[in-house]
Amino acid sequence: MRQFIYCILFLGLSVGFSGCKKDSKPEDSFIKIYDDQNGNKHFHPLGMTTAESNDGYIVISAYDGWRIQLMKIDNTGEFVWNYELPSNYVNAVPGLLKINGQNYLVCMDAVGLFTYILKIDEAAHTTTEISSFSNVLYPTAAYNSGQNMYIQNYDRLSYKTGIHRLSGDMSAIEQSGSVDIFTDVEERIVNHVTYNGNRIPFFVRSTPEQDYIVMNGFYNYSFSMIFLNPDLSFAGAYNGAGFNGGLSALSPLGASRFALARFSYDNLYYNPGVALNPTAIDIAESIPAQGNSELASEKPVLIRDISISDKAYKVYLSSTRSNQLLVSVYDPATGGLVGKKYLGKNVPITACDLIQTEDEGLNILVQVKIMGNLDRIGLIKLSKAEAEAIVD
Amino acid sequence: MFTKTLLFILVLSFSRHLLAQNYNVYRQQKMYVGLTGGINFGGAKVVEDYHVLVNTPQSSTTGQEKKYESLGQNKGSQFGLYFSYSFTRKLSFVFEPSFQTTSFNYATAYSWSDTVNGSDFNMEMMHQQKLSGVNLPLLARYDFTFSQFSPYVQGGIFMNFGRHARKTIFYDHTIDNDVDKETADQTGEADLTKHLNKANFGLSAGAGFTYFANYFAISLESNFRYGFRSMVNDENRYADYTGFSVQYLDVMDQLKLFNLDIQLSIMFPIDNSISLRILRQSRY
Repeated sequence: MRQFIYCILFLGLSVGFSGCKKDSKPEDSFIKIYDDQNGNKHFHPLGMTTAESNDGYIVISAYDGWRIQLMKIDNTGEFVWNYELPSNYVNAVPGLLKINGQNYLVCMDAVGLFTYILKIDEAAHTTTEISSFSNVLYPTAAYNSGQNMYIQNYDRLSYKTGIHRLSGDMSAIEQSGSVDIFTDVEERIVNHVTYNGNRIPFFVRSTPEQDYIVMNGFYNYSFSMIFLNPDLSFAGAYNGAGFNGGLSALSPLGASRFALARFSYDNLYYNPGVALNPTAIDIAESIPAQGNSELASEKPVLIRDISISDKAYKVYLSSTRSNQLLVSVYDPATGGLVGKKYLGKNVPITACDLIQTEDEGLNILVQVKIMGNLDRIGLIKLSKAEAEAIVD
Repeated sequence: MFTKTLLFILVLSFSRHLLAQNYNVYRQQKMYVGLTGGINFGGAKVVEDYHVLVNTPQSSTTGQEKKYESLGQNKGSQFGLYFSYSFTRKLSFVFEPSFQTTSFNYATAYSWSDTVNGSDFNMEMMHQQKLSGVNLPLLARYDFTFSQFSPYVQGGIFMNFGRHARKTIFYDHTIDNDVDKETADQTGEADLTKHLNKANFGLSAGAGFTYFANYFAISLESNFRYGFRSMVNDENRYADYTGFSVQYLDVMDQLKLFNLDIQLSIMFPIDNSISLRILRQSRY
């Protein structure tokens, strides 16, 4: 009996001493939601990019309407630091700009409505003002083509959509162009920048040949996709159905071919490979595309280039009407759908950004509505195996 | 009721034992078959902890750590067969295949403040996991006496093959370290099976006593089992087969499972001889 008691004691002590918890370990696949105790704070993630030191990711989000928060997370999605920008910096445009390995953001002055460019100082967990452009009001999009950086804006005084190419050090505007809207859209712009209602899918892109700049903005009484020449003069446009239709997302393929998503009222349409004429004046609804009735047209659509098993794909990320995410992967050569995956259950999730990770997985930045009303920043990581399973 | 039954059996066993000191039990090279059943108390040891909700400097001070219930609060049951073969008068091998249900529970709590209306939103949850499967323990048993009332110890290995796992979350909106399952809201029962590894193995050790009658024997024993294998499937930890991950901010830690059982067995000797009598008059 004594031996038995010793045996039980030994076993019990072994369990007890080994019962101390260890830290979480990295995972290939995970869901993380970043907490904030303030129940009245609503976050709208705007974009993510790799950290300057390549040891994680920088996430930019809007909160309390148009205020700006930066957050750094590590490669496993664990929180590192966050920084709420001073209240004069508001309305960050979606996405972060990586220039020479450093991350920048474009935002607006809360009073003057003009544009700032801020550099993210990851070491000090803050930002540094690089430049401001007092004549560029209401910035709506920014884009780094690899050769030039562009800022799109709405000029409330002249009712124009403007586009500006910056100098290499981003201290000055080298070239500007604009198109006439012919009507006041400031109420729509204000609702957009304050997150009061649906967001407007502004964007700027360039063709791989750098022969055209493409921007999505207001033009000629409508929400339109506008082709611009390298000198930012008007080349052509695909006009939306007034303000109720147009392009949701665009990814140039080269040789005047594009992968795009377009919306018309509450319907969303995909075409992963369509030829467009940059000098045409046409309507966006004439672009052939496959409708997908389960998708929510008012939510962001992202089109990204990814590589799975050393093969290049176009991936579409969108939100469904049933509050899931839909990842659709297309072969860019044929335009054929090679696989899709639904993410999320029961809780509203909105797609915000998508990037491929170094380990060939996918990081999907989302807005998650937890406990029914708390909009929080979320990150869904798909492992390499899960990404491969989509196209198998 | 169960406690009273156990007490009755104990008293009966002792009284019979006192009255039957003149008999020895003939056990050598005897095989017993029987039935066994009882209750168990499950527990979980955290190997790695995981969270869906990541703390930031703006998080609530309310801890997001899971609080696991102690062994006595996670009840289950088992029933099965009993086989034993005695190599010597004191040493035998026991095989007790059984179907076992076990459980382990943990609690989580979250709090958010409403700065506009000056009220908080609280959520306290009790996560109940129920597992069922087949347990296959193979034990070496050592009896301390030859008498009719024979205490023993046993130890060995076991294999467990999970068949089904289910999860229910009970929740209320007051953080008081107590979620009353009778009054709290609850989710539906979700299938947790794919989140867990199917097989487990480990060590088992226990003690008990047997009362030998002429044609049968009754045992009351308790065993502690500790599984060596981490039971949560790492590959699909966040796959959210239950649908609870984001909605209830739940992801399972990596766990090793253990349990303590108390079971009653009734055994019958199998003998080729004409008589099944297992009691022999003591020569001393």
